[in-house]
Amino acid sequence: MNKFIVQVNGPAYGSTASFRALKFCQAATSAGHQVIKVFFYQDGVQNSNSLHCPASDEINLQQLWVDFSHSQHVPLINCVSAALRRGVLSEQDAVENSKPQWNSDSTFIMGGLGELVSGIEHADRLVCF
Amino acid sequence: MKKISIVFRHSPYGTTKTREGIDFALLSASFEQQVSLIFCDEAVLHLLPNQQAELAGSKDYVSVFKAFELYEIETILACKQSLDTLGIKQQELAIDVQIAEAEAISESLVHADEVLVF
Amino acid sequence: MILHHIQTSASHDNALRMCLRYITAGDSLILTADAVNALLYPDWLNLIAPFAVYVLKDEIRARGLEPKLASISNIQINVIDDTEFVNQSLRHTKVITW
Repeated sequence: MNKFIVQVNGPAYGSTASFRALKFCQAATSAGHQVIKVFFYQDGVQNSNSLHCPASDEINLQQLWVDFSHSQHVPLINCVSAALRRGVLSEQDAVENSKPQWNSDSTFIMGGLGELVSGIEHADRLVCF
Repeated sequence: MKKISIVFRHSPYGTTKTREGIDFALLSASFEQQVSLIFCDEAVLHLLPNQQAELAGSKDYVSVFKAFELYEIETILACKQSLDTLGIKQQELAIDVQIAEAEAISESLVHADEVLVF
Repeated sequence: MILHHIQTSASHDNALRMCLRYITAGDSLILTADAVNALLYPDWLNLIAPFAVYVLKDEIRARGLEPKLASISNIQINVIDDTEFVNQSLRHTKVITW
């Protein structure tokens, strides 16, 4: 069993990097490996936006990440500074920044870049998408 | 402690990749990781002096390059081939970097525990 | 022994070109997303020929490129699934996503 940290830099819609990352994570856990966390950085933070409304015959990556996180007990970490810059806010971020709305799914945890560094320290392998 | 090598390959201001890569580099260094930086392709343009990022609507993330030493980031490589292609000479650069042949950059990538490209 | 991961088309991004500048003997390449299109250009094929080349089966099938891939004879292309991508990421010392 090996430990992976996966970094996602691509958004939920507009690039296939996030989809590819999800498939990689699913294959890793199916093979008995551990994904210690998925870190969303750059445009990857858009994956947590729970206001994505794809048509019913299209995939909903945000939901697929949430499902994966719940079924495999893998933490999804959003880089908070990258998220705030892109208008991706948790309820707490909304309060702190005096915004009337928020959009980040609560399964995604807002964290600092230190989460990425500590993940790299503890994982056997980093794979970025 | 891991050896983390961070490669920058995109031009200043056209994307925010380098800005977010620099944030990661400084954070990693402050978390006691051994960080090295590699500038290649049009990212070597970040090394030119007298930039005014605000004029392009960007945060000035280049001024902090002068503080790499304070963060104990000692290895900073700039790809010689990229500099040559763009007609930039070492004496034109704003900060002290090692001009590296491709082989030296390859070696640096081999010795890192992890490499992140921005 | 590094696994170099390219995700973008070589016609609009320099990822593959920069990777090939620093890649060393014994390293491998994995092409995902639009990066698989490099296999259609004879010039790129020649440049990647010295290295082990992996491509994801789903990316090839998604684009209907199987017949095109079958006609490549001068280099060996390893068509793999996500599970094998995971295996290869561990078999190599690290993965660099360009």
